[in-house]
Amino acid sequence: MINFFSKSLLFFVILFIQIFFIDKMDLGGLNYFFAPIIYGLIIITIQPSIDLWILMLIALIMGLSIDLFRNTIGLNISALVMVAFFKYPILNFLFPRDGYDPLKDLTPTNIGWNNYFFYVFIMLFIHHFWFFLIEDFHFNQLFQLFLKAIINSIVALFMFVLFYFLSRKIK
Amino acid sequence: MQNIIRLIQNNSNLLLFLFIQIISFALIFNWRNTLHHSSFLSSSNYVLGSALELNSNVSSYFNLAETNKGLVEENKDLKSKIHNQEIILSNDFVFLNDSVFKKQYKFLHAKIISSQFKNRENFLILNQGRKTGVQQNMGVIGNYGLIGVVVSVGKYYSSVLPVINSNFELAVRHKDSKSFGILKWATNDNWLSATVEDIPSYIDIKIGDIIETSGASGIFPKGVLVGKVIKVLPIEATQFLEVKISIAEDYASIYNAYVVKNENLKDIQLINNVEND
Repeated sequence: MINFFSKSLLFFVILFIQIFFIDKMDLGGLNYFFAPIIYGLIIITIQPSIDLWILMLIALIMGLSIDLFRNTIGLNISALVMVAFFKYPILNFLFPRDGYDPLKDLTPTNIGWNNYFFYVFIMLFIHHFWFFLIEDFHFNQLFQLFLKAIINSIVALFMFVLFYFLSRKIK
Repeated sequence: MQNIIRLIQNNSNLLLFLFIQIISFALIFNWRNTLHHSSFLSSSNYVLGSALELNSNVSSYFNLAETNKGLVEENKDLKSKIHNQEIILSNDFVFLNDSVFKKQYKFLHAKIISSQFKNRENFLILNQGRKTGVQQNMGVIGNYGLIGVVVSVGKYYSSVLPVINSNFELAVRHKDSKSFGILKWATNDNWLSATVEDIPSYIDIKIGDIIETSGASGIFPKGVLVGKVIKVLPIEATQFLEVKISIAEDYASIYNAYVVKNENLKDIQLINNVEND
């Protein structure tokens, strides 16, 4: 059973942190490598029993609400729907047999720390890479984009783990 | 026919995915190409604007020292301009340095309630809108220099296309030689630098020289500071230079802005239209 109320509350908290803290933070010369995208948390870790088309529609709504704040209509929709679409193929590829319980959220305790890091990193990398690629929309700095995507994915992964510990504390 | 229906049924998820991607790409390109954004779908609408303003009301207290410093700098600059405006011809006569004898530019103070600087397409949000007379294509300048151009106006808020957006383009000039160039934000620029293109290579540009607005478009007054030169690169096999400048405004800490209204803009546009026909 999915608790829609707590999930939507969590989404508002994440949107708030993304727009008002992460996007506003000024780290001087490190700004280029500190633009993590964390609003994909719910799409990435929600339980895998949801139908794909519902997941993509949720991603559409979430992406649009981020887009409205960032004034870039379409960019975040495209990136988040991409993540939603690749979620099940990657889950099936990484854990072919009984790797996860489809009725539980994909948290470290449910799928194991190693699996969690591996799976979430790949999803975050897809999200960041696609986002930076269509944001720039040309390919002559591909290596730099690659590096930027990897470093930001690691930062976002770190934040996801912090979120996990915080949510366990609150429970 | 049945086969087609079965094909659609089997691949419905893929089709939905492609459908959403196509729509979002259409939105992206429409958004990038027109620059005439509908204020309903952007942060200049009322609900999002007030959320951003609440955030800025809290965070602006942390930068009061920085803001004060900027205002003092600007005051110093204005003082020096005022005292140089009056040229004494003899003991009696004072000549005002203005050919029209009418105020050409009007300024409206606005607070910047949201500024982005990490993306390739950054936007600023001002807390002034249609109600106080802001219109599309008005220039916006800050305490130190040029900021950007208004692109979409809501009732109470408006959004600004700053220099650090890959869609930005403006005619500027080199202060000493008065030769024109085009200000752009190239892909290898960060939020502190920009590029000036199309300056001929015979012009002597030194590091530290000032780049200012040319006033040709009528959006900005003449001589607003844009930035200082940090690097000069000749473009190979052409007659032009690529000049890197450091932008006068720091978009990571920017709180005050002035919207520029040109009273003579209609005349300028009329003349431009006649020239184009």
